Amino acid sequence: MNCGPWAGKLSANINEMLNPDLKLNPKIFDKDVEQIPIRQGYGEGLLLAGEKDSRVVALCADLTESTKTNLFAEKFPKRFIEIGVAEQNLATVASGMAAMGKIPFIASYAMFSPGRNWEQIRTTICYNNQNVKIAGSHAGISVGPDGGTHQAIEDIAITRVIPRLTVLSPCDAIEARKATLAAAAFVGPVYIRLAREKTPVMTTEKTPFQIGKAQVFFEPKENAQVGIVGTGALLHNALLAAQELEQKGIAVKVLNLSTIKPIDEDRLVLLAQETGALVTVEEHQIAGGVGSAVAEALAHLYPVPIEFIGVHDRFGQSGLPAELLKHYNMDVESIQSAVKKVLKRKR
Amino acid sequence: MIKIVKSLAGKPAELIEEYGMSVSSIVDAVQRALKRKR
Repeated sequence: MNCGPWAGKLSANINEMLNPDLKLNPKIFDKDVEQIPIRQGYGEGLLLAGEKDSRVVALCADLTESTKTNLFAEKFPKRFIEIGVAEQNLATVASGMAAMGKIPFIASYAMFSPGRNWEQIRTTICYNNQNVKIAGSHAGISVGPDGGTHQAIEDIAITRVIPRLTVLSPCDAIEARKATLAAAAFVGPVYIRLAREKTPVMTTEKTPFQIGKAQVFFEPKENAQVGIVGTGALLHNALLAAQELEQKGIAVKVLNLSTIKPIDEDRLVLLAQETGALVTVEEHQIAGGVGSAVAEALAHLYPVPIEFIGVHDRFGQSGLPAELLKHYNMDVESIQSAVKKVLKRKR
Repeated sequence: MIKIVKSLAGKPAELIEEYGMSVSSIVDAVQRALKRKR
């Protein structure tokens, strides 16, 4: 961001629009905001969950370091199982262990779990309502150079469609740690969506987290004209877009949807009532993703015009994360354009 | 032991009714949508 001589003043004013109740990172809008991979938060959360509860066990499909499961495996080697490149077994073995009273966490790249082993997750874990936690790392196109085969941009769609499965999508590493701990305490199957790259830390240790609760991160002083519903690390782009739009006289409220299922209908309806127009922001296919979930909820409860930021029915490809976000129209500029577009559609 | 969740084991028409996809459910939905029209 280049704000010239007004940088300090603007920053102070903009920070006043961060929800004070959430104790968010005051450096959220700074160029040097701390960046940590979301998957790191999962690894730390899993370790803490293991220390708290001896029933917690971890299973991995040959990606122990990439998924940060190694933190748990090193501390609790007897409670860690390396399944190998066999994601279907990963899910079914975990389901059996859950049936015996364990709290298994399974981890792989999201493309392989829940991607490759979707049927085992559906039938062996969720149909039987087993207490298994599924961590899918490397979700989204910001996986970068690994390319389209490894960029999971369908995982929200295929998990939120399964009955009994709670779907979490933390926005940063700190929230991922809390989400992992919350998943351990929650009884029932949970999917936790994680990302590979280092991404901005938006929350702090003091920021509350609760499964099922969406949170307003950014709230203009005047009445908001548009609401943005964001999830995952891309929420930071939504905040940057809101900040820049504020300076252009367009007031935008930003909601962090860290639980995709069950979706926080009350909070969404309130946002729709307050703003009358929404933009959804996700690093995922438009079909079946967060935008679809929001639209499904509001179609029943309080319909408003919605613009969707995400991948429009295309596969990913190899590239630098920033290049890909721009190419697929998920950068700050694209979010601003979507806000302006939906403003024109307001009734 | 993995617990097997029992389904209704019903006939197709019973299941369609149970899950709210019968003709009467569609008629009800149309009537609700009509009331919500602006």
